[in-house]
Parts: sequence; C-alpha cells; structure tokens
Amino acid sequence: MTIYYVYDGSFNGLMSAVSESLSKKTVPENIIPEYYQRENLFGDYISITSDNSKSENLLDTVTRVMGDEALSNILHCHLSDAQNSGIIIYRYISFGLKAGRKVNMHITDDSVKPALDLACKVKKEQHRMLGIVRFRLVENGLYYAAIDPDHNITGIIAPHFSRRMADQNWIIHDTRRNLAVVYDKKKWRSVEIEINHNPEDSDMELFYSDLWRNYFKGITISERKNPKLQKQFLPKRYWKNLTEIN
Amino acid sequence: MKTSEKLNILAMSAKYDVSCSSSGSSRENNAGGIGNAANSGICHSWSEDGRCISLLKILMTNNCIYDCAYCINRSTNDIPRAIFTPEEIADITINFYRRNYIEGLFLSSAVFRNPDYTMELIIKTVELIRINYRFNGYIHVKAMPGADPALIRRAGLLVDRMSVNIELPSRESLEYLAPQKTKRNILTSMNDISRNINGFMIESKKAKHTQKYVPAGQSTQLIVGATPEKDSRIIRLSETLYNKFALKRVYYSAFVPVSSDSRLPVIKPPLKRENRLYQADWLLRFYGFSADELFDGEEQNLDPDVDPKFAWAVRNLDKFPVEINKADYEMILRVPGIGVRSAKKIIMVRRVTTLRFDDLKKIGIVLKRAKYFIICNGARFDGKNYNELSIRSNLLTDGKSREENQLLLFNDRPALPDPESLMTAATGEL
Repeated sequence: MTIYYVYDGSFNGLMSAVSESLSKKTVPENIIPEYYQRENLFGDYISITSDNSKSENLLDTVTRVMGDEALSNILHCHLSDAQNSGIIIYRYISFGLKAGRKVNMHITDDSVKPALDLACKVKKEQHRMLGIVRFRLVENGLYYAAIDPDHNITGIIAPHFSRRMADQNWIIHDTRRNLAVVYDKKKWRSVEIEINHNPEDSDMELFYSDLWRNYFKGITISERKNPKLQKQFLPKRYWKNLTEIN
Repeated sequence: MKTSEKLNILAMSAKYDVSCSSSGSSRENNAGGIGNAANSGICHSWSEDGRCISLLKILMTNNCIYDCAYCINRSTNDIPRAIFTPEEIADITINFYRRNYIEGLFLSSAVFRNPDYTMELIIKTVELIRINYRFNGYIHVKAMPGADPALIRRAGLLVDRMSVNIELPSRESLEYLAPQKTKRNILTSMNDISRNINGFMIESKKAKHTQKYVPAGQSTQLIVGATPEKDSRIIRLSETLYNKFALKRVYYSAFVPVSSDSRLPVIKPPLKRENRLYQADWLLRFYGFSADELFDGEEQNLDPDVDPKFAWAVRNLDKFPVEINKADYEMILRVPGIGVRSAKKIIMVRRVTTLRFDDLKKIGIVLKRAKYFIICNGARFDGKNYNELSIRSNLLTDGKSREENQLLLFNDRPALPDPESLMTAATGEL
C-alpha cells in the first residue's frame, strides 16, 4: 500500500514523521507538509503530530551516528522548495544510520546522492544571495532588502549579515514566503510579515543608487560583451530585486 | 566637479584592470565596526560582458606622468581627467558597502607627480576608511612600481591584497611600449611585498597577535597580444612569479586597443588565447603541471582548438589509460575532463565502493573527453583503444564541446579546464 506521512510543515514535524516511519519500518511514498496539494496522490495519508521529544531524540542520534555535516545537509534539504524533500531526507537518514560517519562518502548511492545534490542546490543559492541582496536606506535609518529566493534561505543568510552589517538596522524580506529577518544592531530574529506598501526611500538613497547604476553600466567592456554569460552567472529571475539592472 | 562625474571618469579608467577577486582573506569585524572579508570571496553582480563585480574598482586619479602606448590613461591621450579626494572615496565605498553592492574596494591609480606621492595618496585614503570609518571589508590596492619600500610596507598593513602590474611579458616589450617604466622597478616592488609577507608570516608563528600583512596575497597582471611573445614565454614567466614571489594570481588581459599608436597591432582582443592561458595557469597552480610539460613539444603556443590539459594528454598517451579505481590522485587530476573537485570525489568514494562508468557520470564527470584516457574496473568505456589521431578527430568533429568552451571564455574567475569548474567560477571559490 502507498503511504504518505503528513506533517505540519515545521522541521520538528518532519523529524517526528521520519522517526515514526523508521520505528514502524514502513517506507512511505513521500513525507509532505499539510499545505501541499494532494489531489493527484493516491494512497493512505497518515497525519503526524509534531512531537518535540521524538524529534530531538532522532536529531541526537543523527548527529551522533552520522555527524554534523549530515545534520547540516538535512537542514538544507528541509529548506529547499523540492516537493520530494521529505522522502529524500527520510532515505538519507535511513541509509545514514546504518552507514554512520562514512555516509557522505557514498556520493553515488541512490539514497545519498539526492540529499547531497539537494543540499548543494540550497547552499548554492545561499551563497549567491550573500552577494545579491540589495539594501535601500528607507525611513528611520532602516536598511530594507526584498528578496525572492527559490529556497527558504532567509534564516541561513542572516548570520552573515549580522556580522557584516553589524552597526546598522536592517530587514531582509522574503516576499514570496512573507518571512523576514530583522536585525537591531544587537541580534537578528525571524518574523512573519506582510508589507503591503513598498517602504519609501530616504533622501540620500537616490544619490547612491544612481551612482551604483551608472558605475554598473559603465564597467562593461563593450568589445567583450557577452550577455549570455552574464545570465548564466546571474539568472534573470533574480534581476527584479537588483538595484543596478532594473 | 561633481562626485558622479568623477566616478564615471575614474571607474572608466580602471575597468581594464582584470582582477576583481575578493577571496583569500578572513578579516573579521570588530565592535562598532562595519564589514568583514569572506574567505571564499563573494561576487555581487555581473556586468554585461559576463565579468564578476565584487569590488568597487576605481582610480585615485587618471592624471599620469607616463605615456605607455597601450594605456587609456597615457599622458598624451585626450580624455577628461579627475582626481578623487580620500573623503569622496571613503564615502562611496562605505555607502555602497552598506547597501551590499560590493565586497570592498579596489583602489588603483595613474602615476601622479611621482610614485611616492601617488602611494601616499592611496595610503591616506585607505587609512581613512580603515581607521576613521572602522571598515573591515576587503581592500585591494595597487603598489606603484618604484615607490619607497617604507610606503609599500605601510600600505600592506592596511589592505587585504596588493598588486604590482608587470604589464607586458618581457623586458624588451616593456622598453618598447612603456619606456618610462622599468622591469627592475616592477620586480623590486614585487619583491618588497613578497619579503614583507614572508616576514610577517614568520612573526605570526612566533607571537599570537601580530598584525596581518596583505593576508590575501599578492597578484599581478599582464597584457596579452600587444607584443610578440609566445605562450610558452608567458607561462614560464608566470611559473617563475608563482615560485619566486609566491604570487596568488597572475591575470592575463587580452589586448583591447584603447589608444592608437603605431607601435601597437591592429587586432581584435585575443579572447580565445587569453582563455587558453588561464587554463594553462590553472594547470600550474592546481593540477601539478610544470611549464616544461605544457610545452614539451615543438609548438610554443597553446592549441586554440583544445584545452592545454587535453593537448598534453594526447601528446603523452603512453601514460594512459589510468585505472580510476587504483591510480593516485596526481594522475587522476591529469585526465582530461576530470577537475580538482571530481578527482577528490573519486578518491573519496572509491574507499567505500568500486567505481563503474555509471558512477562517474553521477559524480558529474563528462565522459566525452575522459573516456579516452581511463579504465574503470578493468574495462574501457566502449571497449576500444585510441591513438592520438582518432581522439583528436573524434573530439574536433564534436562542435558542441567547442561551443561550451566558448561560453566559459571571459570572466574574472576565468574558464577552467573542466566543465565542473563552472560551478567554482560561479561561487567565487579559490
């Protein structure tokens, strides 16, 4: 029989579902958050309640047996927008608990490779975003940035910006997920927000953004023009939030 | 003059400098400060020519006492001239940085009055940014050849990277096109930086809290195609610079005619050649090749049709095929189509399993080129043996592989010998 585990969408919920399924020794077809559309999926749906102690137990075991790098991979997979991330994580953990610390050496194994690939995709976007977040100075000395990433990476880029832009107030707003990280010169926190109006620029903003746009335009060496290469490094879907290309 | 006009002029004059790397330094932020350096380097944007923008790349001034034939800022060129004040540079840098436009500053300059005076202006600017503005992000400055060693020492304590342009591949060419510059001055300044780096490295091993001197190392750049040197001469020069001065990078810049001069050739920028030189350079630094090996045949220029690792492999077919499951790392690195990343993966994964051709594909190795040079678990990919002629003709008729190479052509983190490295280029590692 085809079984689907359904959890509340949280990381603890997912870990509870994986734990449940490992202990019952039933391999699910997928493990999905409750907000996914299910019309096309035939089979039995088993709802899992988030259980912190189950989740913590599993994470302890994973860290002890598979190591820190594996835990980081699991977290990155969970942040991806892939529909099958649940089952990928399940298979990775199921294999890894037997393979132990050598799990990440099995890069060609069908239980390991999808997890490594997915984690890598998320890390790649995480790194890219460190470069292409664009702040604007808006009212009240606040630096505001809107982003629209493929994966839910706002929380994992926040530590970088809190170290780097340590002496300014800033917000990074994931407009697709209505999530934001807010930093107040001391620490950052994650909040759910819906900003309907576009925060207005402060007086000096146009001066610096214009300087930057002109700099960007001028730096191209026309004898070497290669827009295809530009798009390869900087896919068009990211352009809308970039000060320099708009 | 308005700041925006100055920025236009002084960015325009700086853009032909190739380097934009922001990697190799892990300077941390301090309390009340702004910025830090990311060891991996971070690209912030890509201009329409596909080059990465990481640093605000500007000149202090484009007023130059020299008249080098190839340079847009030569004294006899009729272009608008400007000079920034240190305050203006600090203000733009900090405000760009706060908006996350850039990773830091790359400050170069034309030689204004004399090398020492120019160097002092650069130092004054960087001091303002580092000390008054408490900026801990990445800074790269040019050292003016022939500047007082004491100034070079002071600058190096403030910045992450320093570079002296070697300009052209030989002394004769330098004398011909840049008669006011001397190779001796250039090499002396390079040597000053390199000696300081070594000196501070020894110090830091002794005591815990010594200052850092040019933590991201020294680089240089030279122009390719303006003068008659062959590729072998250029690559041998780079090898010497890497070995003698421990340079982090040599950048190659395809000659773009920006001023007319009867001593200069009339050509299109030799981009393909530049690309091959970068590939050969990568082979020196990461693949264990020597310049002698890359030019072990009659030909003293790199083959424009195939990458230099492939060219070496077909000249040395007696060293192949190698067994993927047994060969050592150094030899696997020499297989065309296998890059550093893939080679490391092979070494790792074969500790837990025996590799078959399918597994190589999963690792991301493009067998199109590798298949001629490897055995996997005792077997050839398609059971055939190859000689140089058949490999070349098979590969050259495959137009697609050439097209892929062209895509990788120009870029600050330039094309690498293997497709997998595109990822490396994109993430700004190294």
